[in-house]
Amino acid sequence: MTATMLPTEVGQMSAVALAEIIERSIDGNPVADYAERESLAWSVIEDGGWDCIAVAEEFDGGGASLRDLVEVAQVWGAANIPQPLLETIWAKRWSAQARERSGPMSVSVRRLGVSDGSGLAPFAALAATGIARSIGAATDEFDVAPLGEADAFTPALRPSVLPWTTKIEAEAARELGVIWAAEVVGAAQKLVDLSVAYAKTREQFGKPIGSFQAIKHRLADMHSQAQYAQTAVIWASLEPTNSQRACHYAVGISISLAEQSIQIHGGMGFTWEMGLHYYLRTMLTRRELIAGLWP
Amino acid sequence: MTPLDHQQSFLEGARAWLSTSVPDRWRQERGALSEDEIVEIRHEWDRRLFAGGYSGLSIPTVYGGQGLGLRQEVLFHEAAAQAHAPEGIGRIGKILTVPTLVAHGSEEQRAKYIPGIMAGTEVWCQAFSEPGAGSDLANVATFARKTEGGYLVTGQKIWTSFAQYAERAILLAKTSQTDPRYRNLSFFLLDMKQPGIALRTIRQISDTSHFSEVFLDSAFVADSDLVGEEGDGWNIAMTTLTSERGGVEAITRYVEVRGDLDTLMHCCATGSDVDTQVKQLDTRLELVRWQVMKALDYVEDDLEFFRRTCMLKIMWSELWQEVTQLAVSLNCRAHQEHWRNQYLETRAVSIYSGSNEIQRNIIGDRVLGLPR
Repeated sequence: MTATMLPTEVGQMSAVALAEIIERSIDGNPVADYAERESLAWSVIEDGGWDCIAVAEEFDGGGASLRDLVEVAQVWGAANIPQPLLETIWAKRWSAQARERSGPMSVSVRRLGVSDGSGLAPFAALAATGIARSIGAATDEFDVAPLGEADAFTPALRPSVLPWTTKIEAEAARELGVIWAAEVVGAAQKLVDLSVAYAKTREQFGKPIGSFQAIKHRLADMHSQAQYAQTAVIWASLEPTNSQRACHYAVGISISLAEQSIQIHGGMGFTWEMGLHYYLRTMLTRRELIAGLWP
Repeated sequence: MTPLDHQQSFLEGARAWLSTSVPDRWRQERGALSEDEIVEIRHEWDRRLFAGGYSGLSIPTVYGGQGLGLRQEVLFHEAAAQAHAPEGIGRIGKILTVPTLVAHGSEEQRAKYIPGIMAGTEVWCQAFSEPGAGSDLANVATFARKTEGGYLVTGQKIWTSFAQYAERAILLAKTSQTDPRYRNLSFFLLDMKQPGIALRTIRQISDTSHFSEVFLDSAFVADSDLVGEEGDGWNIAMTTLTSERGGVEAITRYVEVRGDLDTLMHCCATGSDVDTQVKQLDTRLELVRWQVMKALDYVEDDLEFFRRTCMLKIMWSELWQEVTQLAVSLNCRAHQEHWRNQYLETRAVSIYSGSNEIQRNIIGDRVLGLPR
């Protein structure tokens, strides 16, 4: 029985501070404005020590727990910034070789539906990203992948197909799954918030659409579902034996929330400039990546 | 001791007490008990809870409670449900009357009524709904007319549980024909054992009777039994209903649904092609429990707590219905009687304690701040 499900102070303070840094760097601009460019410089991340928050204290890191990372990943997911922050935090937590490197890092994950041994590597198309050959082995090595062609479907993740996959130790893979799922949940909560805000200002029939029960009940359910999704990733971080099913459930609900969010925004939700699709695209690719982590 | 140790020792103590206190007859032969025997066991259970120190866990000690937190209350209810403990017949008093009196009652009312509820000697019922005031509860028509030293109440209430066993009722009645809606209602503590009150039980679709209609014909309520001021009734009732839809209720229901889903998983659904569906139900059910636990970290902040608990009633009620809908479709002969009954009984869960549609309005208005 858990006494509390809250993150530690490290997790709470990191989440608040990261949200402030993100806010400053995107400066109130909509996601469509920044999802396809370097909106938060890697030097800002590294100078602030953000890449080391989950390195154990004995290695001079921040000592954040997996539960703490769930908090941080939600904040990161709400922004949808194209940098491999979560992957790098995770790599440095698990690998001595990663701790000795600087710069962004990522992994190449097994693709379902192919048998040629190739992997999908988020951010591999981003300059200077080190892609791990293994994580959690005695001697982890990193390739700086040739820039490769990014799959244009997911601008904020810049994923490329590589001819090999990263060998990831099982517990490390579980943690990465939880972190990615938490990122997706953060994105879903952001879309619910945007939908609620839109329903308060968008008027039809001379009234804000949020006053109509058809919209209000849908939003009430979206709030509830976002809560369950968040609870599921927290559960996933606290009970390893249930991580997989809880993450799949959280991601499934989150994607459904993105779909509902587009519906609430009406025609605007279907436009490129409104930008809801950036989140949805990230979520779909994360789902694929998470599925590749678990056998 | 750390808080976790403290909690652990509380839980161990509770489990040990439950293992020796739950009546064997209830645990083993519940299905064979007569209505009178059931009522007697539930009465006795309230008295045992009190003697064992488990009555009113989160109620302040000055009012005869144990002065512990909501966390202990939730943990105890979960353990009790797992131990197949009966549900006390005093539950309306404990989960509705006491929190309402703690929040809005006078010292005199608290001193007079809370000890009897805690000790399990006074049963309460709830007289809110009316034929014309269901989801639109503010449309209550029962009228309390001022008289010497109190009020004379006339009207009709419906969907009242435990009415035939109750000494008292919390009553919502109109006290003004001219004041605007939401300001024309008052909240009373009504003596049920008086000549002006008649009951009629309601036969439900499951062919059982858990509810009554209550007919009031100039029933008397003393001035000292008005809670708050005249016209405060609506706001006070909202406090009452928030308690009803909260975490303690959800954790109790969680264990009930858990029992049903276990039967489904280990018997009725084996060898059928509904495996994925059952696993999904299982994940969603566990999330009810985790959602309650998550909310407990926010109990000091009313709004943040409500953000995390407002959906619980919708969550467990719709889930329970899905469990029974699936179960009754599987034709498990060993549990046919059980599922037929549960299927019909659970049609009510999305209606009672405020329909799920009304709860969605509340989430939209109060949690999300959407315009009315």
